Amino acid sequence: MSKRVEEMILAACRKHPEGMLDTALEPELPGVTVNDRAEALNSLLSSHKLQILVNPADPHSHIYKASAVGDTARFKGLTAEDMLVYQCIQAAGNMGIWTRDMKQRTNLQQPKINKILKALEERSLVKSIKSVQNASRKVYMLFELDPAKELTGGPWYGPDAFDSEFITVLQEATLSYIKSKGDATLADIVRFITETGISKQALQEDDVERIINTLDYDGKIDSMEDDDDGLPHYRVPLMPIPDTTAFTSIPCGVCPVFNECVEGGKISPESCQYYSAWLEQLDY
Amino acid sequence: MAEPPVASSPAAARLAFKLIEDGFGPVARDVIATLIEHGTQQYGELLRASALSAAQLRHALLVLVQHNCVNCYLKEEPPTMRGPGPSYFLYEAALPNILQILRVPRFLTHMFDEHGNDAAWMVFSLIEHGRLRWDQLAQAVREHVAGDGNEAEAEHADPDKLRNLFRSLVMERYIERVPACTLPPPPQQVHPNARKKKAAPKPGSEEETELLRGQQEAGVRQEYQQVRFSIPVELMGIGQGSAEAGASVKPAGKRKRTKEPITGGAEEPAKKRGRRKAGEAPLGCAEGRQQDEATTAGAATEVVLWRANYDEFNRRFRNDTIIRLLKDKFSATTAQAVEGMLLANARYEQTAQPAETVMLSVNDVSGALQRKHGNEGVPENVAGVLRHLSEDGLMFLDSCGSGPGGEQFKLHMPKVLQFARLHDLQAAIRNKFGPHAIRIWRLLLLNGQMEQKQVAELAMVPKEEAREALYAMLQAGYLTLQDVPRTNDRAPSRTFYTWRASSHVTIARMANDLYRAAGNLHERLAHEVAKPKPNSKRTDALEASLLELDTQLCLFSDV
Repeated sequence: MSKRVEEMILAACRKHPEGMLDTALEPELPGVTVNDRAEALNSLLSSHKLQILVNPADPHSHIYKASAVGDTARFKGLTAEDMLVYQCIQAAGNMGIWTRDMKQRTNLQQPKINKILKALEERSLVKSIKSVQNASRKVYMLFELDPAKELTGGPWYGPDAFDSEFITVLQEATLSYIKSKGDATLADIVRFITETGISKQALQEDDVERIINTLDYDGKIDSMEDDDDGLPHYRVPLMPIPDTTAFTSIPCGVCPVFNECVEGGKISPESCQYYSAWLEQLDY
Repeated sequence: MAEPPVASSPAAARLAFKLIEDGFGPVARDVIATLIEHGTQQYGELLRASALSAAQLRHALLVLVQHNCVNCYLKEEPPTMRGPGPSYFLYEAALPNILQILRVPRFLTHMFDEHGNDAAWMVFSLIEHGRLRWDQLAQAVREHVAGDGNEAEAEHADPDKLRNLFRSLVMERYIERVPACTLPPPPQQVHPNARKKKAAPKPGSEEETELLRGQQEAGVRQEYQQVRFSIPVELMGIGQGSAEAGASVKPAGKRKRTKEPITGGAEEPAKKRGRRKAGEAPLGCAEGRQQDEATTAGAATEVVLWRANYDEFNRRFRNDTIIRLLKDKFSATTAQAVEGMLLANARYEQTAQPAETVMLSVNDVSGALQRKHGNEGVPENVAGVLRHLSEDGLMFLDSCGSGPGGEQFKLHMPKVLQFARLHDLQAAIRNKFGPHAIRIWRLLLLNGQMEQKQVAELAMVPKEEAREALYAMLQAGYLTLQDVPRTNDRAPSRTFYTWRASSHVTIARMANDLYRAAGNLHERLAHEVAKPKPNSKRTDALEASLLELDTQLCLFSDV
């Protein structure tokens, strides 16, 4: 009898992958007493064939959800507290969750949570990721999930930090392409980057646009809207920013202590070492 | 569009002191320093504030007024119940004029290129002596030409040739009449934000009298503007002797003839001269005394003093900058057409401070180019070139419909010059703060206020480097930081900090830095020259750098 009820419950839950309430379960089990249903639910929960979760629509009630095939083996031996932490991490999705937030949501002590997380990581159920937004924070998410772009920083971040070198390479490639073509659109540049395979990750249009914008800010390209297609076109500027100016070709123009320089002071034009070095260059 | 920063910062004053000390000695420097520190002053006030002896001050003022480094005005107080109000002379440091001393070699080079050797000597003589009568100027030029090794040429120098040259320089506004020292002081400039709307004064009220007095003073100043470039008849070389004394001929099509021209000297009304106290004599107005002598001697000839008009030189340099920029940014043909606009607009301009040109038709532009360069200098399709420029996103040129001379256009000079300044500024930021800094500065300029994190993300630079660049630019005054507190206690942890770049603020800051750098460079040059064995290579390099720096200063501060 008990086995039959368990199967009935599992079948009902599989029909509702989003989970079902106890009240919704009752009509699905005609002729089954409350005690039998409770016994079957406990048995399913202890064997990890069924999960009990907080109802997202109403946090005061619970829903039952059938575990995926294979989960039973993965969760074998885990305690209710382990499962609570696991579910908490699962709910966070690919944005992950910080241990302090876990503590608040599960009402478990920090050492206990740490112990559980260690066990879950050993079983390859969860993984930890460093957030680029907060380098000191480690967030946890399910092992099989890919971290969100906000967390990893997108294609511009390497395994440890911001990948300046990759950006420089992309900038140089984009600039040389615009120079060679004379006039290029965003779609042209995206196609070029995809074809050359400079990036291991597939770059989207907005990623490439950010690279192009940096070139524009650097004054290396000009962006102008074409009258024919209404799209922005990129080309080499007719008036590039000059390499030097009268101001910056003298030591004062690039002096780090320019504002502290006073006649007769410790730093002064008469005793300026930068001027001395600059004038010495002229002697040779 | 804001006006370019005025050369009145402490850094500019510091440079001015150096230039005055170099040219006229420490006493003159002290007089200028006192005038800058205390503002416009009477002789007595100046004597007390400068702590110089009366003789020293008198001589220094004479020299400074002669060299146009100090302006002199006659202030007339309103009449009282007891009779006419007192009048006294006011002295003001002419800081913009003093700073032009640095630009003299450029003026002379320009004059040599445009009008030849004699013209360069003529301008040099005027700059060397400050202000001269025509006969003194002709003599000085002859002496210089003789000193040049062309004694034979100097002896046989055709006076008419010199006179013609002088006349053409006045017509082109390179030389101007010296303003009379009896001109009223310029009206006080009130900041636009501080201006209050006032109702029209009631008839017969004190306010109305004040208003009328202001209008009268403006009229006197306007009279000088009308004769500023007019040439006396005796210098015209026609009908000499038959012309009425004091009559003058205006440059063709430029100014109206005045009823009573103000002479270059200090021609004062006889009643004023009688009333003035001995201690308040028009000090420094040597020309005034010359004028007095001339009139008391019964000489009917007008005594006019002439000086170089720095404003005109700067106006030409400004036009060169505009033409060069348009040539680089658009094409040689566009630059040619715009040159035509600037030439056609010249007659309507009073100062080098730019504004919009007047509405100019295609015929005006073509005509101006034809007069300057002949038929070859006129592009084929001027209308088309100008129309194309007016359609550009930079909006340098406004199309104003059609008129009698064809399509009409207005050139917005401040926009072109702002673009040129920004171009230089960006190079300076990149060289001064690094390549990431220019990216960040332009990002902020184009996108407005941003938080540090956003800046790093959008500029695609590591956060640490973004922070370093931001704070370096903040310290140098090239960026501003605003705090937006979330709570009243303004706790830093609960406050947003946003960064902002403003082109006007940064350009003003750069202009100040340029003056500061020029002061430092001048100081180092003086130090190198004062060494027992000065290295000519080094001093030459420093002098050349100073001149180059001044070219940049001209763009950032004087046009």
